[in-house]
Amino acid sequence: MNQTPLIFLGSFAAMAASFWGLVVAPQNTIGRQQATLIQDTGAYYPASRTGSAEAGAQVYRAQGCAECHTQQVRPKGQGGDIDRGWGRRRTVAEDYLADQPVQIGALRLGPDLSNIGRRQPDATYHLQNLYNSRLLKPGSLMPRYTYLFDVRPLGEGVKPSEAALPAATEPGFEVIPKPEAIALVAYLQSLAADVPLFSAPFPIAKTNAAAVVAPAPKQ
Amino acid sequence: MASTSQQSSATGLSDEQINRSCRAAVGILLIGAATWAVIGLLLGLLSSIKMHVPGLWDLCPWVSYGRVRPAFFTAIIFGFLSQIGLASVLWMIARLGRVLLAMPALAVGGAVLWNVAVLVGVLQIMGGMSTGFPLMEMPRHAASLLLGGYTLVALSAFVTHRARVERNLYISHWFLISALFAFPWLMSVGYMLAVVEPLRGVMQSVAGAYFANGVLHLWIAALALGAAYYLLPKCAGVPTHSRQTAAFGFWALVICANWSATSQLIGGPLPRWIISAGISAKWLLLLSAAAYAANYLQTTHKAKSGTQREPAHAFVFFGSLCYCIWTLLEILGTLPSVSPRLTFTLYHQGLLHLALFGFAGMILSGAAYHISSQVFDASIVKGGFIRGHFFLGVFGAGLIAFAYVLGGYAQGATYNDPAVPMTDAVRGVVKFIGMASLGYLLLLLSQLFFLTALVRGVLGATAQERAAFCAWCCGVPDAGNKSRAQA
Repeated sequence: MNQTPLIFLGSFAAMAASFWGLVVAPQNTIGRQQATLIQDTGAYYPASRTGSAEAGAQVYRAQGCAECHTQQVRPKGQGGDIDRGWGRRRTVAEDYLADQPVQIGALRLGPDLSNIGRRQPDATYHLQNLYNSRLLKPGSLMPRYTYLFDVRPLGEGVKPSEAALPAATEPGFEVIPKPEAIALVAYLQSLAADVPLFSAPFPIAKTNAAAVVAPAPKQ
Repeated sequence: MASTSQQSSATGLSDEQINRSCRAAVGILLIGAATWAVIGLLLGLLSSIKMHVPGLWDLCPWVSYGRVRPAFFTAIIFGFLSQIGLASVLWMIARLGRVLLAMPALAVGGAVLWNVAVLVGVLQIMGGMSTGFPLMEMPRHAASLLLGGYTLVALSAFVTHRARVERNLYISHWFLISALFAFPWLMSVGYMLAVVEPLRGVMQSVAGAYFANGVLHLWIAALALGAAYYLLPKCAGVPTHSRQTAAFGFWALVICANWSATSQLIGGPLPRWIISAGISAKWLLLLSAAAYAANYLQTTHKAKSGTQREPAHAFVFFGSLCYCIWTLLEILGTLPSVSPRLTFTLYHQGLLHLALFGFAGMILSGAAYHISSQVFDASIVKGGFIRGHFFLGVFGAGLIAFAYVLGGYAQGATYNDPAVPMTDAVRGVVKFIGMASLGYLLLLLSQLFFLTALVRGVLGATAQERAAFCAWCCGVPDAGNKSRAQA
């Protein structure tokens, strides 16, 4: 091994092979997936996000939410994700077709958020959770995102703004979510990987033979 | 160790002349690395404290946990480890090739640009401009600057390598040259496919994993192993035991490292075969670690009893130990019987810290001391700073890895048990995170010793140049250093 070109060519061949195997080949299969038309509802899955939810995805990225939260549900038998109620089925590649960037996360300090829009659809809950998680869940380690809110002292007899969070959030103050907070909550509400797919049907419950069957995608 | 007055029979160049040609570029890279290590660990300590004191400075978005944590990894990987790696590349290629560093001004420009890029990247991440992909959070503008800095440094290194007089390639050459080739490949592939022209859906995560895994194995680990294979015979006083074993380990690393990328995505929303391919490759990386371990043990076994031991030896020893433990624990984490418990837990954070601070951090720090003692001031390795750096570094890296690995194992059990309320499961990891915070503090202190030792050595050795520079700038000699320069 006294030839520099050998090192170069060997490294290049190894990297090109891994690139082909891990990126090019999967791109030709899962990279070309299209949204599925669900016959029962007539809607496409996954649906494109609304403007506000799309903006919220960027807030989610900028705040680094994926440092503590994943968006991937493992199949039954690989961890307790489904038993914890984080999803009715495992997540598959098709669930992320509308995401940019894809924020699947790698570490869970908080719960998985794949289906948070279904598990907790209440916008006020999410806003309060962002403002001060410990109001709702004493002992929570989630940081406060107070900078996503305008906090103003309430004068005596002054009625708080309609957009303000409930008075108990910060007694004596009105807490008004900024557009970033509203967008982030719209994004969280849009997170729902709960449509049974051909590649990911709902798992069959042991005690229930009449399992939910995935609707066949329209060809 | 080669004497600094040794003359090359082929060129007539002395070690001293070669060292001097590298001085400016190596100085900027090493001081930059030590500075980024301190900055990075301040961010790491802050992020760790914020994990168990979530209300700390929560009014300031710039220091929110989700921004500080990726800024910390960026500062450590690209600011600290990569810069020592680049300094090692420049100096070792010049020394092993018995040739002066070519185009040193280009290397200096590249080193400055690299530091600017890391600064811009860290500030952009803290300002909320992260890309959102693990270990690839640096936004594209900063990444472009980084690639520009790399290009300048690499150009100098390649021209030096082409002009080398000693035509034999040493084991270090293989790893360093391969790393130089891998970096632009990973940067261009990763950023093009995940950020600039992103692939559709979850393929972005695959591209991100390809980049993160490649940077860890084919950039940072390859640089560290290149430095280790240089330092090992220096420390032992005998040549490396087996060139063939090293070649086997090298090719095992180069061929398998990138394939192992998808082992990070166990349980992820991908077809099973993609993840299985990654796990298989991860297992094969054991060959690379085993080859290195065999060479290390055989070489040190043959070490001459009366050899003057290099101070870098302790760093190489601990780094090598961590390399083997890291590889074994990485493989353990892919076992079907334990991976459901360990996936998405602190366990993998522990392994990342073991790789960055235990393995690469220690070996590259040893290389930094060795290079500084040659290029700047031999007395740099004689102070108490190096001992302080080593022991604090060992305890710090060990404590963080231990806390996260153990914490991850405990966390996996509670997170997978639906009977345990989520808040209780989260609170259960606090004690481990607290232990890790202490580890960060020890590591921060160790890096302060590192920075102090390097700055003292560099300032002491460059008094003459600085005095001349001050005189050139202001027309007045630097009064503070005048006497030292004359001395």
